[in-house]
Amino acid sequence: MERISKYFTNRFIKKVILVYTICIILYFVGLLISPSFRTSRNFYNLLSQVTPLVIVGIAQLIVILSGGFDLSIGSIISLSNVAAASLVFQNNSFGIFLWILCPLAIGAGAGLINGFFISKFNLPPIIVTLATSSIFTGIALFWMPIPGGYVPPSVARFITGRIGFVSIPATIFLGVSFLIWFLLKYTQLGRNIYAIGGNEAIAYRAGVNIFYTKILIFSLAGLIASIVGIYFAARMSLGDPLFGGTFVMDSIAIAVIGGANITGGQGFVFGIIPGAFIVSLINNILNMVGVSSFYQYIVKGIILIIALTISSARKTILS
Amino acid sequence: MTTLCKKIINLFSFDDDRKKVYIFLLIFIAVLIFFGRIISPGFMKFNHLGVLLRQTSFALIAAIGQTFVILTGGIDISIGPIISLGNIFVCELLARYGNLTIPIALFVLALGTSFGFFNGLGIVYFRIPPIIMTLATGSIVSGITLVLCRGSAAGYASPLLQYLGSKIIFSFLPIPFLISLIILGISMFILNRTLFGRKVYAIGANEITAFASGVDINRTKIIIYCFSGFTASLTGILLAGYTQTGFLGIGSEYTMSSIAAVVIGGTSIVGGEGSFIGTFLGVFILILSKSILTVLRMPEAGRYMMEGIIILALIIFYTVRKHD
Repeated sequence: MERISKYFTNRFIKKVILVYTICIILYFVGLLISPSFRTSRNFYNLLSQVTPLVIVGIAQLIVILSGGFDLSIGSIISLSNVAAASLVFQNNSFGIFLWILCPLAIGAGAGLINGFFISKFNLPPIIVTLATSSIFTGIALFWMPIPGGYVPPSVARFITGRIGFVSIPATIFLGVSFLIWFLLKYTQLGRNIYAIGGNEAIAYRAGVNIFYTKILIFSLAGLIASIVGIYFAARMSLGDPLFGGTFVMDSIAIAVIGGANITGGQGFVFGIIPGAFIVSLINNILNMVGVSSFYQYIVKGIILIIALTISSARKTILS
Repeated sequence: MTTLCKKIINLFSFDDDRKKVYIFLLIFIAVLIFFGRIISPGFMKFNHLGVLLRQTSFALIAAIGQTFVILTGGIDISIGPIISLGNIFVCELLARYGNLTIPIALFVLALGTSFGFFNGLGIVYFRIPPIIMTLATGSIVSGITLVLCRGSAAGYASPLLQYLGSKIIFSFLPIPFLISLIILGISMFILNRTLFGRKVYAIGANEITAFASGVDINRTKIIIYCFSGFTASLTGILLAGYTQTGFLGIGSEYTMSSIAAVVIGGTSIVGGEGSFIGTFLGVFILILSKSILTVLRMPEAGRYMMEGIIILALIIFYTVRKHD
């Protein structure tokens, strides 16, 4: 009994409970105010909206855990989106395997470039990813100057649809979350990521190979972000070179709402899912009530500021 | 030519290290001009110079605010949205309320400054990292802009604004460039010759030391973010005079290019080191290379890649040089 009560007074657990509670309250608010929110169609719609947000939030979380930011996440999504829409091979299983593999490789490669410059020259992640985001956007625009491309309809239907009552998008984001949760909790790499975010100098002295770990962190973030690119290529059946821009802010907001500490070292995967649900529920409810999408920019900004204010209020101030 | 360069450099610089950066940047500019001359004979002739300087002036004003912010160790991502806001608001309000250019311009400047103030408040009192706070403010500002113009830009710029934003006198000296030079001069004076400027450098170099030596960090930072909002909205207003009508998303490229210019100019991205001359040369390098890309008929994609590659290459160059 004492252990249980100790468990619930843990600050982390408190954060999780808070996030899940807000998420559930928002869901009930949605149920109350709008009849079209209650339909099962909207539920599946919500799941397919939340999928990219969860995945991109996890990608950003890995970087934030190590004490950095990845501002190029949006352009990596655009790049892999363009790749997925233009690299369609034969419509057999090997062709589909290649179709999924190529954008993933491109995303991981883009992340690798980020990680290489950051750890080789010891540069701040913010400025490197800002510069590379410009480069990746340029490459995406070179590749596909205007939105276009094509995705085999059968594949697109499979990725965005459902089997029975199991939603495929939900399966994708749960799978990714579980994998990354396992990676962060039970592998050497995961421990190293937390260690670098906690204190890089101490991690170095404890024998963590900072060079390779940082490269791996950014490659992993690129790899996960490219899943979003593929997902949207399937959902829109086309590629758009300027598509990913809004995901930078969303991903940071979701990671912070989900309990990650922006100075690094603290955060967990299963806070990301309710975080993404909160952002997308608010959008969904605003849409249902008929608020213009222009106001959603304002609401998003305000939510981000409130979440950050709450999370930084407890931190000790400069003394 | 080189002696002239040296004289100019001597006039402004304060230590040897900065001189080296300036000389490096001037050589870079000379190479770009030489290259431009080869591919197009009219490059950097009088008329072309006027057009280049006009483009420089918009980017320069935005970059001046960004320089102040980066010198304190922060970064301002909301510059682009605030530029768009200034641009759209001026045209929209002029169309609604008739030809009241000066009050409307003052109102928009105050609005931009207040968003800067908002940034400053969040960063100072809620301890939100500057990059995230300005990102959030940028989102709010974009939303407000869209709400006001209902999704499509309309309106026009008054003759006075058009004069301020696009008139070129003596066929090479644009009025906006004169305005940007005035702001540059005032900012240089503040940074190099006043207590406030010393405080800015002190905060960027080491915030805890600055606090211990009695620098009022909170006030200084808030003033700086206000100034950044002010310069951004001024850029938006002048751009309205240049394009003669509101244009959604006009500011988006300036966030990136202002940071690029500051970094190219040798200002340390973690703060405490840097100068306005460097920023000025950085802006000019960006505009020159953009112009060369236009002459080469490169698509929009080329500009993005060029900007990213220049930032990355120069920040690596400066870091490696410092470690040596």
